[in-house]
Amino acid sequence: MDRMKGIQMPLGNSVLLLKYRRLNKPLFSLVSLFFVGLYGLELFSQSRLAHAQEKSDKAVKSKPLSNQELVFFETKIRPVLANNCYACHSKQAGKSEGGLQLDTREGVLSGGDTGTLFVPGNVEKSLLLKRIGATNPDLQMPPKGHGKKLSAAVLKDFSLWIRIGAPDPRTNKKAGKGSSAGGESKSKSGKPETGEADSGQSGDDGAKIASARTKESEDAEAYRSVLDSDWWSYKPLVRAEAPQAGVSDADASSGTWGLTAIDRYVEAGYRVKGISPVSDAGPGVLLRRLHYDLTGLPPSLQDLESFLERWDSVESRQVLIEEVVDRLMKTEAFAVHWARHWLDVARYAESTGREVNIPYNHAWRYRDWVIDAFRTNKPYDRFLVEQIAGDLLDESDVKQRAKNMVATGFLAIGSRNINENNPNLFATDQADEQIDTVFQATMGMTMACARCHDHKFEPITQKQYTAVAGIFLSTETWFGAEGGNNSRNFAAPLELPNECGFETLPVAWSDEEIEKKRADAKKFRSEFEELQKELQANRKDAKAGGELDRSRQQELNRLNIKVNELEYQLATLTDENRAKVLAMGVTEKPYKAAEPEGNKGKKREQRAIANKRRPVFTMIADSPFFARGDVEMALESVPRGVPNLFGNANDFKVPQDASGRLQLATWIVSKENPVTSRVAVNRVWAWMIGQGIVDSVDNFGTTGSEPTHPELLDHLAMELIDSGWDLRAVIRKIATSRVYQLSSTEPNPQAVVQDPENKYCWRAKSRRLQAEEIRDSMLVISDRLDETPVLATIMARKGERNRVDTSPGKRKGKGEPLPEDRCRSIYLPLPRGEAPEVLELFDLPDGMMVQGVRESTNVPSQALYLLNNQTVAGIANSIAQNALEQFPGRSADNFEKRVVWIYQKILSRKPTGDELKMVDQLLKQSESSEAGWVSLVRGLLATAEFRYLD
Amino acid sequence: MPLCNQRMNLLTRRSILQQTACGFGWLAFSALSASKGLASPIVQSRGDGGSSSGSFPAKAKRVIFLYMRGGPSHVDTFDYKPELEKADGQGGPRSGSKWMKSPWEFRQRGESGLWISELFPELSQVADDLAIVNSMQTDVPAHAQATVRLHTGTSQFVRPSVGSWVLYGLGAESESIPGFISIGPSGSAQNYGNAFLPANYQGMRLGNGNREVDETQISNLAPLVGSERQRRELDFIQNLNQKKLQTDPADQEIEGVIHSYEMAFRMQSELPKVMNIKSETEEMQSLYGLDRKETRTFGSKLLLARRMAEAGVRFIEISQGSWDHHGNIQTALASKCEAIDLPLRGLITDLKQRGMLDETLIVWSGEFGRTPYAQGRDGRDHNHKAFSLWMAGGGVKAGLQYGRSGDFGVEATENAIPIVDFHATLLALLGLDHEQLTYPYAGRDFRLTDTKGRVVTDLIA
Repeated sequence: MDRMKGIQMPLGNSVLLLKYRRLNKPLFSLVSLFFVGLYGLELFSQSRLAHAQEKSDKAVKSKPLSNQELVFFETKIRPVLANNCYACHSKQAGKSEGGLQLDTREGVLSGGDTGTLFVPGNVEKSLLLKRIGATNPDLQMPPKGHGKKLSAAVLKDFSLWIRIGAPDPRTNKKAGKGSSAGGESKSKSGKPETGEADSGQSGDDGAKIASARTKESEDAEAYRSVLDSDWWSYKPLVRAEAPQAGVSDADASSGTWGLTAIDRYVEAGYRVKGISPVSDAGPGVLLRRLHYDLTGLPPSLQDLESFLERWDSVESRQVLIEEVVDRLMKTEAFAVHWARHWLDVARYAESTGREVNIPYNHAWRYRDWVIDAFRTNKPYDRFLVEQIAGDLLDESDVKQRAKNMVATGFLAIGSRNINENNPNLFATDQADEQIDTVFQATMGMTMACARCHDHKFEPITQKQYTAVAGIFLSTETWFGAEGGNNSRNFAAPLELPNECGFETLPVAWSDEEIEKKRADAKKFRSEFEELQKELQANRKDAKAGGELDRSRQQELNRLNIKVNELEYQLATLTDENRAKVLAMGVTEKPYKAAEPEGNKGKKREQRAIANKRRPVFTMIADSPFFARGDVEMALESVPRGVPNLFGNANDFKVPQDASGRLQLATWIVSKENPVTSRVAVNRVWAWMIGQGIVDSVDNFGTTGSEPTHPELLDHLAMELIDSGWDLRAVIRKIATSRVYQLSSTEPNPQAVVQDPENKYCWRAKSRRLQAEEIRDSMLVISDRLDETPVLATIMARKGERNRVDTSPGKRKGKGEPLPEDRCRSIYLPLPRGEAPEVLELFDLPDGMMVQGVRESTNVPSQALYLLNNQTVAGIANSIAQNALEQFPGRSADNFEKRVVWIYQKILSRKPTGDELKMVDQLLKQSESSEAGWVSLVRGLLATAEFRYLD
Repeated sequence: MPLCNQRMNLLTRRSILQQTACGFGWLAFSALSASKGLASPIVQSRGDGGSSSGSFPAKAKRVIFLYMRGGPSHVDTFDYKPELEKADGQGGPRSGSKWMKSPWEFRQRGESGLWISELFPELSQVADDLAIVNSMQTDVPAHAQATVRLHTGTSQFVRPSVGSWVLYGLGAESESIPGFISIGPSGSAQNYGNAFLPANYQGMRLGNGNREVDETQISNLAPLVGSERQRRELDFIQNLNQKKLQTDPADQEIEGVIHSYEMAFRMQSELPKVMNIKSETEEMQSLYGLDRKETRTFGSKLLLARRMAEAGVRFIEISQGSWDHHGNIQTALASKCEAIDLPLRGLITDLKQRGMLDETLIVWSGEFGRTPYAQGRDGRDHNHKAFSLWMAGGGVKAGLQYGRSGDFGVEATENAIPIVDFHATLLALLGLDHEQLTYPYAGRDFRLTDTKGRVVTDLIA
């Protein structure tokens, strides 16, 4: 490999292994999973240890447990006791062998006939540890034949538990029944589930699972209802007075730094950390930042000039900034840019994705609805309710009603495995995808994790999940796509009344073509049916010993595809060959009052679910509890309802004849729900500031991050609600705050040490422009951008094929924008996995799930795009031409004017003296003047400065 | 099939930029300059432990990491469970579960007698080159977390991927092709991300999970203008980038842009050559199964991997999707295995012929395994407590079947290897001491293995 010669190999294989030494440190690997900080437990155990040893009896007293302690007990201790000890040592089992009961705290602490089990905090002389760690069969617990010896890891857990003072949330009541709060306990009290669940399923596996399940669930619910009150994001919003002003305590009296209430909260953070912020960004940088953050586009030359001019002369710069912000927020560009943010959250895309990628030709109506919502500043609570239950809102105006229906496209645009051949699995998968999206988008909750088991990290049981699943299984989803193989899972689009007056795409075919299609469809349909019959007969024959003719199956498939495509196309037309108004969205499934069928009916339903061919989710009905999430293991139904996280579930009871979407939607924005508003303002903060107050914007659960500025988060959430859910007002507040205006490049050695990740916002965060911003900016700078909204997308317009075309050649003009496409990127076609190159290269989300924060990679393929792509070259060429036309001739004066013009257009600043020299050199070396100017423009577009927003 | 597969992306939202844009922690590294990003602090830490008792002679110079996304079933492939066969249909460990034996027959292969199922007839021919580990363990039975953990050592924090660490430790072998390439990844960019390591250690993504790899995967490779003019433009760009970097010398993103241009420039001539697998002889192509529909996709990726290895890529990852067999395992697993079996044998044979096997470490692994009890009638659920992986070449002890996952494959019982130990071992095979390979960030020295890690010496020849 001579290629290697002369190449840096600073380390090569020369960094040899030095020494390998066994680590003696205790491993907390599993435990650490549950904590945000890796050392959390270790630290907390040490402090607890000191405490415990000091006054060991105090730790025994009932006192509220910390979240960490609780999680530790519930995940590490209780399951072990329950599974290995309760059988002989619990009230529950009615046994207390050796005088010992382990299912209450008191029982554990008082010990048994042989003595106390342990003194909390003291590991040394613990009888409990001795017995569960014993190898002598006479002493060993659990005894031989009553279970396996407990593992070393479990021993370690117990030892740690005792060391930290044996935190134990259990009360004197029976384990698992006690402290559950709210609606769940109500349903329980009506019917003691353990035991009764067995009836009607006697003896089979289902019964065993059912009872095991119920017990597990109850245990989990009991602890989770405690847990949820303890985790910060589920606690009520706190209206606290804004902290005092001042970056430091010394500065507190003058308090001149902050401009807005937001700043006072940020200042409080500085004081806690002992850091001070950097100075403000320059006016040019600030204006560029405002324009991109609010509109996704750079400021025009005129904007820049007038801003700089006024910056120096204006009486109050703050007023000037407010003016700019207000002006920008009224633009179409603002609506488009912020709609795109929400589309990331809504996992917007235009095809099924997964194994068979079928286009959604009507997804764009939802896209336009989102843009319109930002255009009209739709109140955020209403914004959410319409997306989840727009079809259920009272509305007499036909047009408005149609709009509300379009909003529910939110639930329909997800990815789906259209080839799934079990219709019931397809339905539950779809409901799961909807639940996942709704809860993550609105409340940062990973609800869908509870599909197959109780949530491991959130206060959500599988039963609660099932209650919500019933809501979505009672909902008809009109995703409007041809089916997969053998037209599996074909779904019609949502048909809107013609009177709504929405614009439609022109019909792509002439009347003659349509007539031919109608005739063909009929012909192929009858051929298909005939062949199907023949093949069925043939299969019967084959079973009886005849020969199976496989060759004709292919023919059948081919016919099927043809029929599908034609019928799908024809379904978009009225009888008069006009285009129907179609969209994606949801409606209620039909309702039929339940007949008193009793267990027989239930059994039938279960059998039906097990039968893959027959769809069972055809009506408004509760969802069965699926053991381990397995659609073929349906147990008793769980009444539809919202999870009782805030004690108000009873106010949102689902009527028998409704799916419950309206109840779910209004619960999400209910005043008792503190999470929705927090998640909303945190998303806005992250989009403006570059990092959320809660870093994990889509996950407010226990595996997510905790807020750096909890009071600020609650302040903003409260302001959002008080303003009538005015999202624009929140954006405005952030855009006009001092913290938003900070420099992003000024060094701050002291703050770096205190807060290396800049969580406390001691300077602004520079960010890579989003994919759309990069493309749209290039179009704006070359005076080519056409901001006119585009009807549908190029793909929907040309969408005759029934599959998303993936061959690169054929994608030109379909998926891939042509150089002459000048619309804003939001209007480009976005089939899953096949998005336009420029967007994909710069980290467009893949639309598979909620994504509130974009990734930002930095790879050579991006460099190659800017250097070698034809479209970029065309743009560079056009900008250079414009510059030459603006300032013609060869005079030195015009040379400089041209350079300044280009710099300001692309980077929103003037070139430095050094840079003028560099440009001069670049042009002199170029083969022609024109080539030189193109090189300059391409060069600037390719710089890091263009791509990064300071 | 549950949508847990989709949740592969659960962690993508923690953007790498977010984590690193302000990564001033590496102040020690501020002397870093343009394309000399390889000068690295590890040199400093090297001084500490010069005495090398117990060090291993490093053989491997590069890694080909074959990542089987979704969690292949170990008890149907590389972990023989005769007890499971006997218990088929009886009650399993979870309430209501039932053991499900493997529908495929296992046999001892090669002179070393490794147990491999009939799903891998071709790979079995080179069984004596494999080291099969049956006692792998990870923490969570969820795709997203387990995948990121396999790739970075933790799913809680944003940390550099193994490939980035390896490249950082070994240095680039070539200036004209990235030292870390991930073919067809899907899911979080963290899996090939550099986190706080300098941006030139980020993996380059080639294609996505959905598409086949050929030259079209990297578009814009052909220069638009003559090389002289392009160099001129590039110099101009880089000058401006340098100036930008000077305003904030610790800005890794700018540093990353600078590096990406130099690499891009050189890739234009080098990458098309490497990607041109059609230049291989017909015989070679059929060795990798390119002449068969079933094996063409994976085979061409493996052949490409070999060509990249020759070209000096340090860490080549190939992702192969859809091993998440909650249902329909009988058909689906068989066809997945068929797609990779012959190409795998081809790769090992080819590397051996070229004398490259000793210096190339091949790893085949999923993010976790599957349950030996059934899910539904014809599927298996996630199992993080036991799974199997195998390695070949690169100084591993060939012909070894290591560790046990009990009688049924539920949980690793003997010589359990957590991911962190696997990482330590992988680095050791490359001659890198996982305790010495550190990078200063946010006030402390970070390692791939953090505070843990044990080199499994039994696996090293």
